[in-house]
Amino acid sequence: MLFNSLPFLAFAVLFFALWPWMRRQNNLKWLWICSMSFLFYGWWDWRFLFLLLGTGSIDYFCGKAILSAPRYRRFWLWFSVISNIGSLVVFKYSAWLVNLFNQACNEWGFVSCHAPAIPEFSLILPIGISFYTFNSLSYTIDLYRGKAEPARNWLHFMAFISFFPHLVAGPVIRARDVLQQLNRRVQTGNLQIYNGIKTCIWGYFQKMVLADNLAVFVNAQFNDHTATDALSWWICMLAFAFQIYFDFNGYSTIARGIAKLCGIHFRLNFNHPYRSGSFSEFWQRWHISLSTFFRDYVYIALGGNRKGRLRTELNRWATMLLSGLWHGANLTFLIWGALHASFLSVENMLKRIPLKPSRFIKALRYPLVLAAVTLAWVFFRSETTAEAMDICAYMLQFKGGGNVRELLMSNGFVWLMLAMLIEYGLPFIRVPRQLPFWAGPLFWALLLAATIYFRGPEQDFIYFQF
Amino acid sequence: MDRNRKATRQLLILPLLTAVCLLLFAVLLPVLPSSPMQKERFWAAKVGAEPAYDFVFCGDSRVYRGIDPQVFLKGKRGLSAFNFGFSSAGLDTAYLNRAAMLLKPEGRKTLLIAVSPNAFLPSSLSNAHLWQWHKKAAADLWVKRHLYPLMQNFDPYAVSDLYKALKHEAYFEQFHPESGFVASDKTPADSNSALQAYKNQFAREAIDAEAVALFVQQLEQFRASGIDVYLFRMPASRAMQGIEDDMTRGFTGKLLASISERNFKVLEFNGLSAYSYDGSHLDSRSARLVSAFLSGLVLEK
Repeated sequence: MLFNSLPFLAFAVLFFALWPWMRRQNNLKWLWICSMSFLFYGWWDWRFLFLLLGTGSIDYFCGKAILSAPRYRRFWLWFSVISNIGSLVVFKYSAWLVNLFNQACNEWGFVSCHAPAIPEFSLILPIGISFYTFNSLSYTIDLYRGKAEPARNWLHFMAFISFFPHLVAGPVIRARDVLQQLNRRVQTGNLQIYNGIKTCIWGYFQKMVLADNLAVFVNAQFNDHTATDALSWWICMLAFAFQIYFDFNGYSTIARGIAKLCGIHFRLNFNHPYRSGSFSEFWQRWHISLSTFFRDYVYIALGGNRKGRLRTELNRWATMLLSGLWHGANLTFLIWGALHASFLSVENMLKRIPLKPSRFIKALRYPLVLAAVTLAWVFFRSETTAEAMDICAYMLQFKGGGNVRELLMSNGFVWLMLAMLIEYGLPFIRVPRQLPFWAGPLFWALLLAATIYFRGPEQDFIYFQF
Repeated sequence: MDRNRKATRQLLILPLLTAVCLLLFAVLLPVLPSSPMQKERFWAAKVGAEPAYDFVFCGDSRVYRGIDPQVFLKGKRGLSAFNFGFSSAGLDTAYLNRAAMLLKPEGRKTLLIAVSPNAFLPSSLSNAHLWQWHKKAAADLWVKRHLYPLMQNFDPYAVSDLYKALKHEAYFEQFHPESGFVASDKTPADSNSALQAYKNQFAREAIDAEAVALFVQQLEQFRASGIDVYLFRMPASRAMQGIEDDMTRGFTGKLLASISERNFKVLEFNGLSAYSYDGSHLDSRSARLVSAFLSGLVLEK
């Protein structure tokens, strides 16, 4: 079920109509969250509910075993890790791995055709699998490390895993953050409800107006491929940079808003990433829940920066490559991860040069970081590496020849300008403290009406495919 | 003021202000010449049509913009017709069978097929538009068919809509989901605007001879199963017909002649004057003329 669809509207009305009563009844609360979340997920394909239930149950019982049998806790941790990664490999990577194997065999002169042997069900990517396996995995790892309290029972655990605001496209949440909040008897006052509604409206505006309108422009250029000039592709890729940002941040913001209406607080997932002056800063601001997951459970687990320079670099590369691969089973995502790893490595080397940068150099860092990140998005958006290489070549050869007037008059360019104005202009707006009480609601009502009238064609959220 | 009390008042006033803002937008924004939501509803209805018709029209956008089944049936009681045209429709077996499934078993069982060189180009034979709609989830189609009619005043606006409204440019489309017809008009009209796109397409792609042979076989199968088939070439501008004939070596004429030799009924629009707003598609007035003319050829005989 999409947040920006009519069925979700009906779903939300039903959920929140009974929530104020349900949240007061201890068992009913958990049952209500679970059953409605299963309905939300099953709306897409009910068969994959069994996968959600299966992986969730394994992690719940592994968690119990870690606590009750300390001698074998390492075994149970690995059992949980392998079963989660295993389900990801089967459903997300099997077809890609088999294709890679076939290609390698063909390169070496062997005949290999294993693709037909892959079961058909594993060719469908269960929506949100990368998110809920990571949520679930964080529970067993945190229990193993003694950083989280165990869930009281299976129902509590499944409610945490399947809680619908974060289920299909994140943010990646930690058991220690959310389980405790769910355990409390939540009281949502009118202030929280008002804040939740405001957050939802802001999220919907980002997704339906900015991201969906930018998507039309970006998709047209990627489908058409007739433009070969640098300006067209730089504008297209900048539009994609803002599309993916507002698409995913829009989703995360709506998720935070809905959670807020339930009395649950999700941490911020994006903090204006395109205002970053360095790549490390970019990763502290972009998809924060996933970045911190990889930092805590991969980078630091591998030794982080505690084992010398070379090892630090290796750890960074491993983390970024895994992060790339997490996004999808394609070489393009690996290259995207590798590009970011190389940006971080170069930045780290430059930091060691004992020179004080001038103001001009300091100011230049912001557009440079944006340009490099935009260039890396080419690999993220392209279907194949060949397509990505072609686009990079157009962008870096700085060839002219496009119809500049037509480009600057296009819908896409107008939306890109608005998106950039919102991202870079908002910090300069000072809201007077003494405003009449109706000024706030008037602004949000206008934004909601604008969202309804200026929404783009309905698009899936980009991160659904991950 | 206490923050919670203030929030309560703000919560109360928010729906009221939202309603006012929506009303304001509805009044201030220009009327859209083509409703995106009704368009979605139209295609959802077309792809979900039931087998309930005596006559079904097949072909591409020239057909769904050029033939109005209601005018075709005017004055004929007890008969029903549906326009099953899709954008860039290719006349392949799957599409034709899908169209034939809309014929009711006890009815007149007649297919009226518009033939053009485009219908046998590889890009058309993929029938991307039809399958894109066919693949949509049933729930999604249900929402579009049954809830979108209730949301007529909530059409989304593109920035270009506002710009075009200021310049008095518009592409008027009136959707008729019950018959599958789209009444279309354009201001300002330019009967040469589509020519270059067609030239490029014929330069890029060649007619698929195998698909043409399969099409003729399919017609024979329809005849064997008791379905009446009429074939015709949709009127377009002279320049457009010239391009089609020159670049495909008179493909349409040759195909219709060979089909006629096999005793299929071929219809001709002799003496009919129709106007195309872009060289390819008929304006709504001409569409109704063509539909009435077809009615005379098929129903008055």
